[in-house]
Amino acid sequence: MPFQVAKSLYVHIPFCDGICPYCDFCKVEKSTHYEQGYLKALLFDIQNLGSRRFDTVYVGGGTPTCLEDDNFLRLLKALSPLLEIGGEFTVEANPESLSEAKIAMMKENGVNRVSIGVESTSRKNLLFLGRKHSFDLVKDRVYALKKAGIDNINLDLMYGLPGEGLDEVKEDIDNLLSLSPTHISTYSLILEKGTDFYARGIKEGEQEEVADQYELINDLLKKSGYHRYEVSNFSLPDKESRHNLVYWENRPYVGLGAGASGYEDGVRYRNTFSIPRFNEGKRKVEEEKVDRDSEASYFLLTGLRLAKGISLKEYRSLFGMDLLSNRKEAIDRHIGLGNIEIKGDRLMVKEERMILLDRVLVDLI
Amino acid sequence: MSFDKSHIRNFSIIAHIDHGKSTLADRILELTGTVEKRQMKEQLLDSMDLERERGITIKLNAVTVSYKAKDGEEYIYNLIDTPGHVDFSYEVSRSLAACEGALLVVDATQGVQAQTLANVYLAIDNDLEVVPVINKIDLPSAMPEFVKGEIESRIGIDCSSCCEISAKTGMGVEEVLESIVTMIPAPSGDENNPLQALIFDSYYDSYRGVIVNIRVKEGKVKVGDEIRLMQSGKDYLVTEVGIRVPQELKTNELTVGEVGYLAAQIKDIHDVFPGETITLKNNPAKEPLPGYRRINPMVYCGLYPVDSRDYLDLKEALEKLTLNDSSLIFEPETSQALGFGFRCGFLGLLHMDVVQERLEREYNLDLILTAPSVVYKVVKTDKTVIEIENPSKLPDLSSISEIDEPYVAASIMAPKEYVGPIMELCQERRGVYTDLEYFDDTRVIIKYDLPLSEIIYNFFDKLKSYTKGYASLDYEFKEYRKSDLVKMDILLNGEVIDALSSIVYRPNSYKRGLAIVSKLKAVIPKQQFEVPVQAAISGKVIARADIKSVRKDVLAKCYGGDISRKKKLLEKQKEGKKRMKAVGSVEVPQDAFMAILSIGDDDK
Repeated sequence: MPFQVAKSLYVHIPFCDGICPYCDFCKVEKSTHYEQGYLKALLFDIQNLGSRRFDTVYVGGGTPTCLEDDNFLRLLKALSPLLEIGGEFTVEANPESLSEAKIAMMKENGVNRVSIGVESTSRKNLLFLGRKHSFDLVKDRVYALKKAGIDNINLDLMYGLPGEGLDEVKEDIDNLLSLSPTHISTYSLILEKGTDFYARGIKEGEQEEVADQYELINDLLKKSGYHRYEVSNFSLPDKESRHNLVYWENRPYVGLGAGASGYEDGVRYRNTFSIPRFNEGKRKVEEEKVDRDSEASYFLLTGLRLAKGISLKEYRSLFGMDLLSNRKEAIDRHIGLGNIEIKGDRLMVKEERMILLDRVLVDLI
Repeated sequence: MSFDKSHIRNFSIIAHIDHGKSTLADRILELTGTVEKRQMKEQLLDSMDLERERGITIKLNAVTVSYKAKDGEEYIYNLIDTPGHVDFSYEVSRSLAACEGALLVVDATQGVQAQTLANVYLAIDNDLEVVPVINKIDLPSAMPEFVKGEIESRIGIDCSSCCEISAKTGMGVEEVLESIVTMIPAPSGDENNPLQALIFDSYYDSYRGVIVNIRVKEGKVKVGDEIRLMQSGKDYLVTEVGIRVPQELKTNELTVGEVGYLAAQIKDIHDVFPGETITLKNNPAKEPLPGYRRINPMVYCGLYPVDSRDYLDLKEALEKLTLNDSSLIFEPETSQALGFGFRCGFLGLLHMDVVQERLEREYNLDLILTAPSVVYKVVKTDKTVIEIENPSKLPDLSSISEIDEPYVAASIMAPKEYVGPIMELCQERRGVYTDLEYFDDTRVIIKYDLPLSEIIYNFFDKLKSYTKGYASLDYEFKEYRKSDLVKMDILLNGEVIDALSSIVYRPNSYKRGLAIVSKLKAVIPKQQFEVPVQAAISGKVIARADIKSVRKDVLAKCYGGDISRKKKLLEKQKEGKKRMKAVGSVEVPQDAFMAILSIGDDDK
């Protein structure tokens, strides 16, 4: 079976104005002066893509908008021609660095989707999370984007903070809804090694409370017309992130930049986290040749994150085996537990049980 | 290499655990040049990884070394290293039967301990010459004169020419080698007599069949001889004989007084057992050598494969292990909760532990062990007596007239200031005081009759912690006594789980029930639904704890496309789950079945 050609491109910008205490992504403080070298290396890789064209381009970070204006512009100008007509071009931003100038550059170079790291709308929690903006600034920037004609906007929200109450989560959601974004991503706080929070011994919210918050978020957003199409992603009809769907539908994508991962020609890879080494030419540090069994696991663990689940026919044609008979015991058990259901050709995790997804996955992969 | 038997010395090294047997064996190998120094590693004779890791000897091990003595003559020494733990005294008695003498190693800082006494008496019962060796005299706290006095007055062995050594540094070991020549008698017997060779150990080799370790008591045996096993009556053709130096060295024959190995294409491991006598088919001995007293297992537990498809592999592995470890016994049993498995009998808990680890490592099996149980004798109302090795098999109370449990006679040796705490512990464990004697000015020997079931639940650890590690323990089976016992069932989600049933002392049952359900609550991971854990006696629930349900099990954060990491996490979880057994609708980790064992007295 020939490999599908990757039609999605992820570009990582590992710079931030400040380091958030919970973040374990690949990033450094902007003041470290790696920016010029990094951009040079990255632009080189982009040029190497030659005449390839992509349906989705996603610039993530870090904080892409914290780049110097001229660097930001060079990057967008390099990426813009790679986008197919009608393609989705997303840039991640934080409110402080989403300047009028950058908005204009984005508009000019075909960026049609912006994802803003809001994380919280209360002063208290923003302070705790080490974020330097206010919700007023978020409102202002969303307004500016819309005015500039970029109205496909995602807002990121964190919940599950230690001691956070349901009322606080409700207020956050109400605030986000007041901005009428097309898309909302919600993430519960996860303590990762190597972060400031971890070192300080901060704890995640209690499981019971986080579960209640997860359910509340789903209820509130559903009532307002937002559909949870993936574990932590909500959108208005037809406004799903086309780029993220590539991940969940187990399709190939190119990853450029330090710490970026990609999946092409049956190989999943990840680039070095070290920015100086990236600048010196180091790229892939991990490569996994995905065999058929492994591929089948990926297919399930990505596909079942989606509300629509997976196609049994597709599974059969890809892997030459019937999932229902192959994993009969586990599937029967989870149907019996009310965790999954089969509708026509599709097998999916039930909406109210998405919160237990990993329990299902462990038995199915 | 053939020696006349006056130049052969067969001996064992016996000691309390940790007094330095294996270290002395190492030095002997080194000083006799058997093993070059650069190839030397610690506990060389302990071939199991498990033995080296734990720093203990589990199996007896035999090796042949040659020694040039001060009289200018060359001697052949057959050294048999033995285990020191109480569980393995059977192995000790086997090796002693192959020897004329024993080096008794006593730690100069600790003196005579409970197992020193037990092993010395075994040696004396076997008519062995006991050569005392005081070890660890390089330590500042060594008191060799005091220890010698102890050995003389308490054991009655002359210590005037006793060697004082440090097996660790090698100091004094030369003298030990000399005294083996002078003090241990050469083997008796006649090479012209009909062959009598004692099998003292055996193991399985996939190419050569069963290999037996033998001591030739009379006559000789060589390749091509037709041999007969005197008790089973089976005949074989000898394909190989040799000695261990310590690697195998083929020889032409093994003659009277010698210790070595023999292979004869013995395919069925059931045909051979230690204590059996080999003779020649054409010129048989009149009668077999006195064998070993068959030791009955003291504790039993259920052994089940985590994956039921491994049942036959487990059976095969157990068969092979019994060849090497004749004190292990097993028979098939079925559990509603765990499926097909085996009820296995062991000498004690360490033995059980060792068997489990060997099965998991050497045979790559994933196992579930149920909590160990002693063997109960149940007198039914119709006067018939049945033996119960599996608590779930206890008949209905209405048909039982009495239940008897095994008691052991335990002797605990400890400094006198710990008498109070030790007696307190023994009373708690339903012990019956029998005797207290002063061993010397500072130490006492306290004797109690204790139910064996109380000993297997954590007794030794408690004893150590009550006495800051100073107490040593020895025990042997005494008799069956009537006790007030009941079966306690454990219910998960309302279902009785047979593998978790236990037989308990009725007056302690409430506390014990509560301790078990809380322990299970702690070790069984949260399930999707709340699971009640109950302890019940005759259908009446006496304790309950609830395992809370899991509310959330999903990683919300998973972007940037790094899906590989997510997959690895899930695969790791999946591995962990493989070690769980689905019992009804509840997933129970392997060690939950043993959880009862680790309940301390504080929560009992």
